[in-house]
Amino acid sequence: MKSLVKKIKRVTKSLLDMAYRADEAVSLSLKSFFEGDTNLAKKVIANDDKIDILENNIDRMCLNIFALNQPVAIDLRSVLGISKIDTDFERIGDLSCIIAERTININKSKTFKIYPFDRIKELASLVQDNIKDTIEAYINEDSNMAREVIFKDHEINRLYEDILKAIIKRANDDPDHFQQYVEVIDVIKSLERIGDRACNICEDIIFIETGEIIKHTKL
Amino acid sequence: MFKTFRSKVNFSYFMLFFLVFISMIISIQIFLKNALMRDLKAKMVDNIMVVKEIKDNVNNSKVLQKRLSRLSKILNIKIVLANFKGEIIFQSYKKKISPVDFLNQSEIVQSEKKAYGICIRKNGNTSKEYYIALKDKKVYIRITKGFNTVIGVTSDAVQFVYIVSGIFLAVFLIINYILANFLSFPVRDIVNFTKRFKQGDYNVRLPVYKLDELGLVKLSLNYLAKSVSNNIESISMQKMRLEAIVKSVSEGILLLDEDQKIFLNNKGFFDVLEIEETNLKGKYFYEAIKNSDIIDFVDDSMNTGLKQKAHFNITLKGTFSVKTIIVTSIPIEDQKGCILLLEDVTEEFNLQLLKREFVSNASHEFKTPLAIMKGYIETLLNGVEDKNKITDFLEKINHNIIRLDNIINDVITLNKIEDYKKLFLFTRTNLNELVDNCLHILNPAALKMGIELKKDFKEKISLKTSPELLEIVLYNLIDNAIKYNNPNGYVKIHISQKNDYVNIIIADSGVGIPELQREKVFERFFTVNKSRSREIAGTGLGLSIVKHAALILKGQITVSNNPEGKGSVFELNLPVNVE
Ligand SMILES: Nc1ncnc2c1ncn2[C@@H]1O[C@H](COP(=O)(O)OP(=O)(O)OP(=O)(O)O)[C@@H](O)[C@H]1O
Ligand SMILES: [Mg+2]
Repeated sequence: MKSLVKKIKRVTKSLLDMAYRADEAVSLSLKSFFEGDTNLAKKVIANDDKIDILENNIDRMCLNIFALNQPVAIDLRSVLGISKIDTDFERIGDLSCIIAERTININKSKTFKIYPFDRIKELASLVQDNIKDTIEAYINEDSNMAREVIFKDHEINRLYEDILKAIIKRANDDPDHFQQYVEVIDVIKSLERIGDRACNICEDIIFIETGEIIKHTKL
Repeated sequence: MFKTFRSKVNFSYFMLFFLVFISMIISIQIFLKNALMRDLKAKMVDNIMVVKEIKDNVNNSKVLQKRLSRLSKILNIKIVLANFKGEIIFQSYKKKISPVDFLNQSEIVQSEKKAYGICIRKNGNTSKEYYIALKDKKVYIRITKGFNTVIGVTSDAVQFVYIVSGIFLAVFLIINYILANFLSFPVRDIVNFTKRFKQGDYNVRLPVYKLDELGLVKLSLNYLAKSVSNNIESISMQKMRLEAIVKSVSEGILLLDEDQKIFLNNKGFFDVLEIEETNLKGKYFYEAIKNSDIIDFVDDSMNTGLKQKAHFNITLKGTFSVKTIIVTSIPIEDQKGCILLLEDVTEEFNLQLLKREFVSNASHEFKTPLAIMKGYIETLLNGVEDKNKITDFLEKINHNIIRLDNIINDVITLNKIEDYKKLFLFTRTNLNELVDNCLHILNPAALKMGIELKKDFKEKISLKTSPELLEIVLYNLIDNAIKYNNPNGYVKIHISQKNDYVNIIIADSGVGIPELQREKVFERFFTVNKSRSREIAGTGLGLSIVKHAALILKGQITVSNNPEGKGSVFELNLPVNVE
């Protein structure tokens, strides 16, 4: 039987693998969205399988550790955290697929222009930053950075509300592209949810490091 | 138990001396006792002889009794005379002795055979007593003396020895302590020396005062330290050189140990990945390189021990662009680690993509007019009777020849601009003249569509530039503005000088360019609307020529919507003076 330390190292590596894939899925789906690149969007959807497989592997590894090694204290928190974080990354992968799917639909219309392009781009880069920072916080076991991510999520939510209102208003003036506006709303909704998942992960990071549970508490 | 050398020495010396003292005391005690016993026996023999003499010489029993009593008091002895039946004749003390008891005493029994019978024993409650007996002609003579005196003397002597040896021991311990300290001093020196050496003070040396055994040890330690520090110095020199090489390379370099932990990286690593510089030492490489494909690739290379090279796309923070990097993984033998080289090839890669695209586009662009021409010529060769049809066919063939000619000219210009950047001569150029030239050439085309060409500037503006290139730029921009215009539209050319650059604006009232495609119009062979371009013999090379030319002219070209409603605006900024 392998030692607990080795097992945790291995499962951590797998989790990072998954995190990087999820992050890449987010970045590439957004790239495909902004550049109207249907091929890239298809690639993002095709790659999602790998993330799902990784999630299953990680869950199995965590179960194995619980059953055979009975970890305690910090080790227990690490494994518990990993088994929660991986579902969040899996969901982030799925949400990226939604963005990619919507992109493919939007691209079918030749006349539609993404609106409000710049503000959505701003939202997207906030979300992307938060994901990358979340991964960084996990690697460095930096609970301060994790707290910052949670804090920055408020801005994401605010911006999301703004954009949503703007799109609804615009859709009324431009009923020909109603369908496309609905797709864009799906995209920004997915972005907002990706932001929420990043927050969940950050809460778990804080739990791993300090044993403190901040879920449902106001920062 | 004894941590220091000193305490060990102290203890062993102490034990040695202690044993010697104990054995001395014991032997003194035995010797003293024996000597005293011999002395006592001789004295008792003398005493008993005196008693015998008195008994032999005094006949009167009353006088004898008196004499013996006196004697017993003087010599502090007990005297007993008894006949052979054991009946007491004389006794210097009170206690009653039965005849049987008397005869059975050990000294009396002994005196039957030997000259004297001797016994030391306890008599009832009293302490030990020395008995000596003698068998005379008719009587037994026995005298007794307390033994305590003897023991007292011995114990006095032993006590004396104890005190003396105690003093000796104390003195010895003090001397021993000082001596041991003195001996262990150099040992502690050596301990301190090794401690400091271990902490990295390679210049520390031991002082050598004497060439005794420890002195020699110190000498050889100094020699060892010198050669070790020499080695370390040369190794660290090598390491520094290696690090300097690694640091100076612009490619990213990571050195991994067998655990895949980073033990050396350079600045290039951060540059290639476009991430902030942090301390990576001791981190796992997969915490620094955040790309799953690269992680798999490195794992694979380290597991198989094979050198591998591949290119990867990585996403960047803050933008939605993708970088292409080539990673080379060179595993160190016996799974001792791995060297990773990271190379930024984004530009080369994009250029290659562009070239590949160019070739496929160009061949496509060439093929279409050729195929059309081939079709018409084949029909003509098969024989066409109708004169009108023949002219129509020939016109169509001519149109396609013009198209092909345009494409070839464009490609040649583009290549010339790209490859012979230095061949364009910069001279002071009158901008008005250039614009007039272009308008003159393009006027017929504008007239055909009823388009008004408006020159919206008055002053004479001159700048140092390449007239040849600038004319190509202006021609293409105005050409587009006419081609992609609506009938009876306008083209406005506005030129002004702002500080040290010239601002050229070409605005039209045409079809405009959709926002999403605005950046792409500068790419080769890109046309917004294929069918329209073909109709008006456009190849999609014009604006890429403009872009490259503007670059050589150190200018900037941008495109935007016409604020006056329909159409687009191309804006070119050129520096007045170019070094
Ligand atoms: N002023 C303009 N208004 C509207 N669309 C334009 C304008 N200028 C360029 N475009 C669009 O950009 C595309 C690329 O222009 P470009 O000059 O590179 O090629 P072209 O005009 O088609 O061919 P060429 O100039 O090589 O004969 C055009 O096909 C056209 O769709
Ligand atoms: Mg053109």
